[in-house]
Amino acid sequence: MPERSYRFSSAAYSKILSHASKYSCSTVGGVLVGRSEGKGGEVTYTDAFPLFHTSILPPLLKVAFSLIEQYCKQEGVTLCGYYQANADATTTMNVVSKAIADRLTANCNFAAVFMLDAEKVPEGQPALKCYAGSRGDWSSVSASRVHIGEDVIDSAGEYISSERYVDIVDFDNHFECPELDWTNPEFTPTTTATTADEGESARRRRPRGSREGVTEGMGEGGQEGGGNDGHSDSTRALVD
Amino acid sequence: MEPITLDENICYYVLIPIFIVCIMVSFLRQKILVVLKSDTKVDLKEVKNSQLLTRAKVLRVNADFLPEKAFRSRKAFFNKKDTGAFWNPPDTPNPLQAMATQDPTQVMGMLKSQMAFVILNGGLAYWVHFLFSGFLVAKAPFPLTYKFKFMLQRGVDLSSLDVTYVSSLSWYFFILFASGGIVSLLLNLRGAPQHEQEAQDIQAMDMINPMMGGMAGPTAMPGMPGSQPDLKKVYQQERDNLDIVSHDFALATVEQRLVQKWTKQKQH
Amino acid sequence: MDEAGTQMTLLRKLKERMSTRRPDEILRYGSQLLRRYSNRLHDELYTILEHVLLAACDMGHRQWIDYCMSALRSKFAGSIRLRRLEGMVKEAQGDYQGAKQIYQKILEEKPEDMLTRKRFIALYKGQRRMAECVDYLNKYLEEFVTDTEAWHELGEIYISDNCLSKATFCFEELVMYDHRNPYYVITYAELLYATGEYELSRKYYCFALEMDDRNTRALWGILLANEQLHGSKVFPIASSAASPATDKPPTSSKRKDGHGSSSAANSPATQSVTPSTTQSSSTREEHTARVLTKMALAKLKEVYVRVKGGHAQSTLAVLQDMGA
Repeated sequence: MPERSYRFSSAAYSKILSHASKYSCSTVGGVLVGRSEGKGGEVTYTDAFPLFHTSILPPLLKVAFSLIEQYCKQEGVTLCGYYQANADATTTMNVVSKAIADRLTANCNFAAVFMLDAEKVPEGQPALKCYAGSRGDWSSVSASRVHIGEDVIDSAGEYISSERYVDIVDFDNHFECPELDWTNPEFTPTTTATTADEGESARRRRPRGSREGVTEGMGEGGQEGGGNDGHSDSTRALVD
Repeated sequence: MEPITLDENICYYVLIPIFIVCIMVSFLRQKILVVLKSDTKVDLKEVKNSQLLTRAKVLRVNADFLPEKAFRSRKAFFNKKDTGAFWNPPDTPNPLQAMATQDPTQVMGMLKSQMAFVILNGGLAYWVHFLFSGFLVAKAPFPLTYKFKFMLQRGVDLSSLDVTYVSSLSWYFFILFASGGIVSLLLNLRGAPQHEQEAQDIQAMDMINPMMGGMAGPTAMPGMPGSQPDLKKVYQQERDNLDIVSHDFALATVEQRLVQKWTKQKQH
Repeated sequence: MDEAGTQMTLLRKLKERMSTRRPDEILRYGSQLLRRYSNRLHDELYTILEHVLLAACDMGHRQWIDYCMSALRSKFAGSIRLRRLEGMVKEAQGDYQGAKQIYQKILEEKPEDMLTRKRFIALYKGQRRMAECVDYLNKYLEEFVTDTEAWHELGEIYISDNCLSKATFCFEELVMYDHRNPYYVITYAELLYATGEYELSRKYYCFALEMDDRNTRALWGILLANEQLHGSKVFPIASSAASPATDKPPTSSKRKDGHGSSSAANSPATQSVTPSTTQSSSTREEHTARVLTKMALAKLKEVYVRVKGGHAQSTLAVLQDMGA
């Protein structure tokens, strides 16, 4: 199997982080689309489509896949990745992720799976653990082959610190209310955050990924350690 | 017979005071019971039994919304010969034995609530009788048969008096029984009951109140922990009830129904 | 007046989120309410404190935890509900032993307290001891067999572990207790689909639609179920591209129709009139399936035609492929 490397665009990474932050108390998952540069070349993920935050069952998956594939056809990209953020913050692939991954590789030989490592998010480090392989046989890929640029991490952090992550829409939301757009066009980084509250400039000055809205008047305080909610760690650390 | 005109003063000084006092006393009694109440020990086995019976009931009622296989397997869970839940009732202790070995705190609890009833209601009845004996306080606006005379004219032994007149003592009893709703309204005036327990108490009191009537005393104890209905009989009953349920899958023709519904919608 | 308006808005937003698990938003709105209007909340104050406390536990926000606990303690010291909350705070801080001790003490005093019993389930889950969690849940359900919350929890755990037949049993219980709950019905239908019971699954999707005929999940579900049952006999153009790696090829359905009826695969309008009764009943079935599919497609199209956005276009394209 060729040793591929994987690169994430801002849009993809921001959507992953926003989805995970919005539903920090449940397991969330979604698919990644992108293209690969020739045989064995780097895979660039141009976009991510959040799928679910509730229990995942075949019918929803099927419909979501067919809709995403249709969309991909129009954009000229392939469905070639799956991400998941577990509620208990573990980064091992579970049954569901394996099943979905197997399905992806049936159609795309460079598909990979990414599990979110919640502890790395507040540190501003690349927070995705990659697994590559094929049907039934998934092995972890070294972090050096996963390229998530500083600017990508920064712009993803912006979405969280400005609390715009709540606007992310996944397929669960979409099926409840079809008006909600699962392509999340406002999460592409071409739209810059132009909210003009007083807090905004102050927020920019604070360390990446912090949130002020909740804590005015409470002063600085210690972080809470431990806890049983996995990637809520990522938003937990964002609250000072 | 000529209609008797009741003095207005009776209305102001008898009718309304009895009404207010009675309501207030009921209200007070509820509050006192909350204060005096010792926690009743709930028997877990009873909870388990009652939930099992509830499940069987729900199964009977909603059988048609389950697929046949699901219904049959659940029915077998209850009714399968020798192994089903309804074939193995837990042993019910002999009722006499149960009385003897009852937890003393439970008995005290029951005694306390009975005492509250007896003292308050008895005392109030005595007060009414003492102060307002022989009064006619009201006239029922609708005609009544002779049999009601005994009920409505307690304390007034005039056989020739029209049945529709109500004596003070009867008025007291009437308010006693009817005050439940008003009292619960007053209790909830400050918002919904804060604790789950209070709400349960109120419901329990509402049930017990009319049955007790203040004079019945500690003889009737409906639904109190300690009374053990014969589980064998109950289980037998439930078993038979479940046996006769036939499964008629409500969704057998749901597709056709849906198509018809949509066709009709389109036509409008 | 403006302040009262803001208070009402905040209160409304908070209440909308109280039944969902969105600790970030509950903390956001709740903290503002408490900071600005705590003296005007009266009886609602304590409910809000409780919710903010739990949200703060989820978010790991020490100060709000301490503040809410002390506020609640000042009013409800020693109450069982407060002690349970103290246990939950310990859980959130990772002190599972301490929490366990608190719960055990509560159960000694009040063995019938179901809410405290369920905290043990949360303890196992928090420590990721899933096998013991499932064990405990099963034992709990033997005693408290009507607790729908527990059935739901068990069902979800089974789904995430891919034990679909056990999950189906759990959701059957839930449908039995509340057949008017569209979430239970649709999840049950999806589980039936996942375990291969396409006909039953379709029936439950239809049932959900009887309750709410704009439910897109159910509409899609009907299309999928019909595709599995009748395949190309129902869809004018086989939607093989739309479902990668279908688990079962469309022909191996659960129907007893083995006659490969001559009702044309590609024209939905043909209805063959066959002499034998079995064939006619299966053709009737196919006909109903076809009509149902057509109507479901039409309903979906109706919904998406009104939606703006690129995603609607791709959906409409997929529907077009299916024959809408």
